[in-house]
Amino acid sequence: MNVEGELRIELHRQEQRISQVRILSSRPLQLPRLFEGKPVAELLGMVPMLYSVCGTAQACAAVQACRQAMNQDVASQVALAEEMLVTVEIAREHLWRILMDWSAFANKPIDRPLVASLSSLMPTAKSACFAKRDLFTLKPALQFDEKKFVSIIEQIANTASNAIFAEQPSVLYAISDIDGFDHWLDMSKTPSSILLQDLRDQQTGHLGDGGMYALPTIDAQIMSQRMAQADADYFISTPDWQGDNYETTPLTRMASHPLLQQLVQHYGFGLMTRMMARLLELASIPGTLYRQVQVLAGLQGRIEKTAPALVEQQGLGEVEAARGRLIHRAVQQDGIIKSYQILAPTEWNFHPRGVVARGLQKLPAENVSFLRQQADLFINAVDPCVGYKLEII
Amino acid sequence: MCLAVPAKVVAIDDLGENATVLLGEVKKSISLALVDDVQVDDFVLIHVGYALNKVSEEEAERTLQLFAQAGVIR
Repeated sequence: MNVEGELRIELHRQEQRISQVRILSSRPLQLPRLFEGKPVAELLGMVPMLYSVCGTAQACAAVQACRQAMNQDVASQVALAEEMLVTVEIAREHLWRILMDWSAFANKPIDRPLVASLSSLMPTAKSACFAKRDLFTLKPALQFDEKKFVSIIEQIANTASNAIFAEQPSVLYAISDIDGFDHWLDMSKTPSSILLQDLRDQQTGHLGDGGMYALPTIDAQIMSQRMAQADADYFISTPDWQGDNYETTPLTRMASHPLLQQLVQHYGFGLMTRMMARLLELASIPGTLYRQVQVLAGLQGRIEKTAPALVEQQGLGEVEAARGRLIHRAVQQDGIIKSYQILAPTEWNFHPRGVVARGLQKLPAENVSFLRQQADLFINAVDPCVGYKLEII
Repeated sequence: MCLAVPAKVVAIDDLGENATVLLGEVKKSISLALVDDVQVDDFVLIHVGYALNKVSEEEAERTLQLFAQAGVIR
């Protein structure tokens, strides 16, 4: 039984180079059809149950789509609190994957008690914002416990600074040039910085540079029209935009950071730049959350006007999840779902001509064992969550 | 974006680091690195070889029913 589906990634070698990259997907992308004929409230309960890996982002995109489809306004504080929960989930996902995967890549032991302690982040953050049965519903009542939420921000900041950055998140985030970066890397002794030191010292940080083509902001109405066309299933499985392939990752969100712009000059869009983008995004989160806690108090009594339904009874939810931009599209009639679709970042990034395929194509192929190691590292640097089977042919 | 599937824990190794779960009729070894305090007979959501979190037996059954309705599992 393989519910999750899988990506099969084939690297074809010819004359010591990669001649072809093939990416074949068996991911169950038609699962959202299950929601058709169900009441909106039931759908909102089912989405986080089925899509539990980034369940908060999924639930947030679902409730946005359904509110718009039903012309349902929501309090501004509720919309902000929902956004804050998605941000906590991004932090948890980055912490998990960096603490586990990067430690393994650096041949360092995984701090299992620390990793396991992160499992309480989301339940605590959710209970600091909403009652258990009133989370990501159409019109929830905010029950914000500032002290509890601040304790979550502190846990994120302390875990990141003690186990990953060897610095306060704000100090890491403030590094803006290569000299500062090299100095930080030389001083830091965490497993993740040891991995980055290896990339720098073994001159492999540039590997996988297939460029970066960031998914642009797309007008919701135009995207909804695209997802309504007869070939929507094909579009959702292999999305492009006006014929071009795009990526949506932490790097595309963080690309304007001055350090990343300097790293691009040295390493292109290879391993080092992509891995630092994830670290910088993690470093930015405590500050973002503290600011949002302050903003939340000032929004008392304001109402967030949901944009009018794109076409009557249709709505689109867009959320930046840990791996990239997630889109849900809902069509309802009298509170019953007529059509439901999910366009996930995985499908942009693992498109047969997308960022993973382009980066893998650039890897050196003289040594099969080295190729496999670098391919695993590059795939992890783009999307550390998706299950895949790598074959070198 | 990915799915996680519920499974019943049928055995845990001596170190408490890995478990054997029952997925349908198939046994599979998974890591318990991401979760605290898992016992035999608990239900966990699994994804790419890791238990993500514990769920109740009722939640597990409901989720498996939904996957079955969607035709993802039999």
